[in-house]
Amino acid sequence: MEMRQLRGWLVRLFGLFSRNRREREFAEELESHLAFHIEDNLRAGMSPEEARRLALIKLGGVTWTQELHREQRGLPMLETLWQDLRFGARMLRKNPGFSLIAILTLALGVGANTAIFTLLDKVLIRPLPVEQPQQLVTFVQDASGAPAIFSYPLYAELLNHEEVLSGVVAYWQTPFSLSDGNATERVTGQIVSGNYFAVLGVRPALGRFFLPEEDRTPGTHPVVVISHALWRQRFGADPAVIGKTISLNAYRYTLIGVAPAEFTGTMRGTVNDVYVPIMMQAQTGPRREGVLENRNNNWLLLLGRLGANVSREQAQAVLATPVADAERNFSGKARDSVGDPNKVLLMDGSRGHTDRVKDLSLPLQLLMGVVGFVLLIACANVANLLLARASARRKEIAVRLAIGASRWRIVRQLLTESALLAALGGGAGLLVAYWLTRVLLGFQQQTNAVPRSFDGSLDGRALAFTLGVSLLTGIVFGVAPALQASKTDFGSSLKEELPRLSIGARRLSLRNLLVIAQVALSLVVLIGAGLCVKSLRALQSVDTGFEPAKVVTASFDLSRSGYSEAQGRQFVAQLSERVAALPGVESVSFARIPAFSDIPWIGPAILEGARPQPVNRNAINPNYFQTLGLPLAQGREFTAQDTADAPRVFIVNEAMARRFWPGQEAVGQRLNGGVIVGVVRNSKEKGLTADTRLMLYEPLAQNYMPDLTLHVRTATPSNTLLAAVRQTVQALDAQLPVYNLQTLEQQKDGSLYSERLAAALLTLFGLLALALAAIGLYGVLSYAVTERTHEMGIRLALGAQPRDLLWLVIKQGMWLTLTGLGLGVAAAFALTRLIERLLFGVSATDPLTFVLISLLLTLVALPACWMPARRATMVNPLVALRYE
Amino acid sequence: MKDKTDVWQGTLALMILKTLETLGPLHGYGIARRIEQTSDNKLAINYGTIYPALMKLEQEGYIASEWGASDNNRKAKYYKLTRAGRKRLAQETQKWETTTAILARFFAPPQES
Repeated sequence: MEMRQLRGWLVRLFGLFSRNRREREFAEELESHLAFHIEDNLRAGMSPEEARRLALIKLGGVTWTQELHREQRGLPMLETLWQDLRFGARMLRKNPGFSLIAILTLALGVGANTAIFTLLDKVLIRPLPVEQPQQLVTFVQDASGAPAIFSYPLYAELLNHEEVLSGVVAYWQTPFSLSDGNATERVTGQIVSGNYFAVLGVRPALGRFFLPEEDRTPGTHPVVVISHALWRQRFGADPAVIGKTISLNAYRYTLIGVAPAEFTGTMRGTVNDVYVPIMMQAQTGPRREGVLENRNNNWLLLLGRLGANVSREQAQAVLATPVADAERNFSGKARDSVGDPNKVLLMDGSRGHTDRVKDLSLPLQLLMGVVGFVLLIACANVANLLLARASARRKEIAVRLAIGASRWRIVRQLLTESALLAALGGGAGLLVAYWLTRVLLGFQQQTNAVPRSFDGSLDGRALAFTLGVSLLTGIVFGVAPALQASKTDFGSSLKEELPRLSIGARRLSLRNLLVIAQVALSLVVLIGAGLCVKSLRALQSVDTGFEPAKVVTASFDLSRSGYSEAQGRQFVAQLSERVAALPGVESVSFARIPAFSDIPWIGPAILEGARPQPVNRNAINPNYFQTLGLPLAQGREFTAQDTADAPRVFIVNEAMARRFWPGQEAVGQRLNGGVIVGVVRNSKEKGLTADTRLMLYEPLAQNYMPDLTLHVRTATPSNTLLAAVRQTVQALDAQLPVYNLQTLEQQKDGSLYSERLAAALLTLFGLLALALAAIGLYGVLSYAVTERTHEMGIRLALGAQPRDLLWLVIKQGMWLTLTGLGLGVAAAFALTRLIERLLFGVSATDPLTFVLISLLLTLVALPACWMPARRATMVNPLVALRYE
Repeated sequence: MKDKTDVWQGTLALMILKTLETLGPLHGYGIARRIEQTSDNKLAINYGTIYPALMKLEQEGYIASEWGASDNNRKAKYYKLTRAGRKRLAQETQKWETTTAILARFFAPPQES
């Protein structure tokens, strides 16, 4: 039965396409029907007229029958929709100006939303592309979500608790030098437990993932899985890469598999390109010997999968026992945790480890709110345009109502039109979104050492979002005008318009409310932008204490290219010599941690006879402070004489000198088995927003570090110098990847990524909102002037001066603007508190910003009022009155 | 209102199928006339309503149509039952008989026990 019905629907669907032929055929059938009937009637003795008349009556009328036939033949709903769409398209083509403005407005609103949503979704919302992500849990230190770090032996013990965790994976994320024999590049990768892919439930795009035996014995199975992106970019998506040998940190691995395209690792905000088994960790770098047995070495992040019907609380309770045992039976620490060491704290792990993206969460949410506002403003604008057009079409609608169209039919027609508009706007919005995500990625790529931290492409989810938003906007801006238009009282509309003496009438009409809302919303966005810009300015003018514009940096990691300590020292000495010989170079030095980097290195400072205190550390070469342009307050820099065999020496900053030796001379004091030889001025070395930290420097010569950043001081940094530095490094070792090749000024800008992003986008969206609000204001006033042409004519005829009319219109505009401003200031006052945490050196309710932005808005509103007002004064009273 | 129409359409469809089974291939006018006559003119219908019903049956594949000539050589569209139509008619007839039998028991005078 159902099959038959389906067949019926299909036939009807096809019926849509052969309308004319079927119409003709049915006309013939009716003709023959009538002929039969008339014949019978004649035979019954009727007159020809009577026979025909009765046949028609019995049939029910030709038109009626045809209509019945049509309804059964095709799908009337679809046909009406198609008609409405075609009519709508015709209406849009007829008013290209209106259509263009509306589509553009929507495109900007929808595009901004799609772009920010894409970012927000990829960074914060979507779960990992793994099987049943909701079962995953992360092991954290406290409610902030900072991950707890475990030793390998403790991880191995947690594996035995399958009653609560059906699987646990451990991993550590770290940079690798990847070489396929030709070029070497720096990529991010993860050292993972052998069950990593199996527990996550990820299937290889090519080849296979790790076998159990590849994760049992240290150093015996050099196998690597690579990302889909790396496979495409580096290996040209060649299926023959499986079984190939590539080298990671100068150790050779067999490539066994390619991860699927959507899987980029389990640490949010980073894109991993290689995965190697934990058992190979000793081969990935020289600093990690023996950590597989060492209970004191915490380095692994854990992700668990809850067993079926096990709650997080149950798992926490069960796992607390082995953890507490480990802490008790062992003198050191089996894991790093801030909270109760005997407890285990689990959090939702469906999105992997998210602490990397924590800093982006607030700016992105803020931006999502802002683009939401912009979209609302855009909707208000289009709604206003539609309202204006609906009144222009009052007569058309009245005629249709009068000849029997139902109100619902008219509303449906108008809604179809706005849906069409929304669809076009949404389509154009995708282009805007595409462009905007490029801009956002550009922002980010400038600032990151490792390429491809986010993939910003628009995917199915973004498309679905755009579709949803477009449809929603279509309804939001379409419903009110459609309902209002169809309410038309056609009696009066069909007659010529009655003169409208609407002096200040309907102050709170829908149109006015929309404009007030627009002004208020754009003021909120603009004030947010103003605050962010001011905060960015404050940050940029922070005195760093040194001269970032004159310093060029280049980072490299010798351990990942297989250098021994002796080779590394020789390399650094040679590089130093050659770079110093480049033209324009004033001084050269090296440091373990580059300036403006937030890489933590915290170590103990031990005064004789006192408790060790944690301080920030760095290891540097001679001339480091001279290279940065950071003056010493006392003592001297490290020199070539401070060798590994010489007595241990240290330099501290003023903050540390004051804390450790208040009121005393720091130079000459003893610390960590050495002596202080210099005190350097405080600087913003750890970042602009950071407070001054306690800093302890030691010579690289006395504490070898293979992971270094070259600092070069030059009068005028140029691209030529950057290229020369790169060439110099490559002349010494063509296989050594160099990153962070930039001036410290760029590095400083990079450290302001989220601040710059927020300021730039808020300004962009703020100006967009302002423009939209101004257009809205202009539109409403123009419409009001057109509607009141007649009244203006009478006023002029009665002796009003053009100045009075000008004032009349401007007064209305200003009333709208000021009401909007008032509401906007109140809303901004409440909302800017939300971004207080993002602001630096400016209060969330900074009066100057509030006043300036309000003035700016008024200033923009004035011409928007003045132009329609001027048109009002040019009304010719004779023409205006004759119009009736 | 809608329910009534549906019931009427279902009944009409059944009458059409039965008519075609009894009389063989027939045009729309003939079917309408026959239904009216069979009901002893108690069923006064607009002949126009027969056409959507015919079309629906054709769309669902219970009947097929073909242009042909009548006895007096007039061109007309003839409808005939398909195999599916016969099957449906048989099913519906059986269903109808069961239903009426049950209803008849309800309305029959109570029997002495």
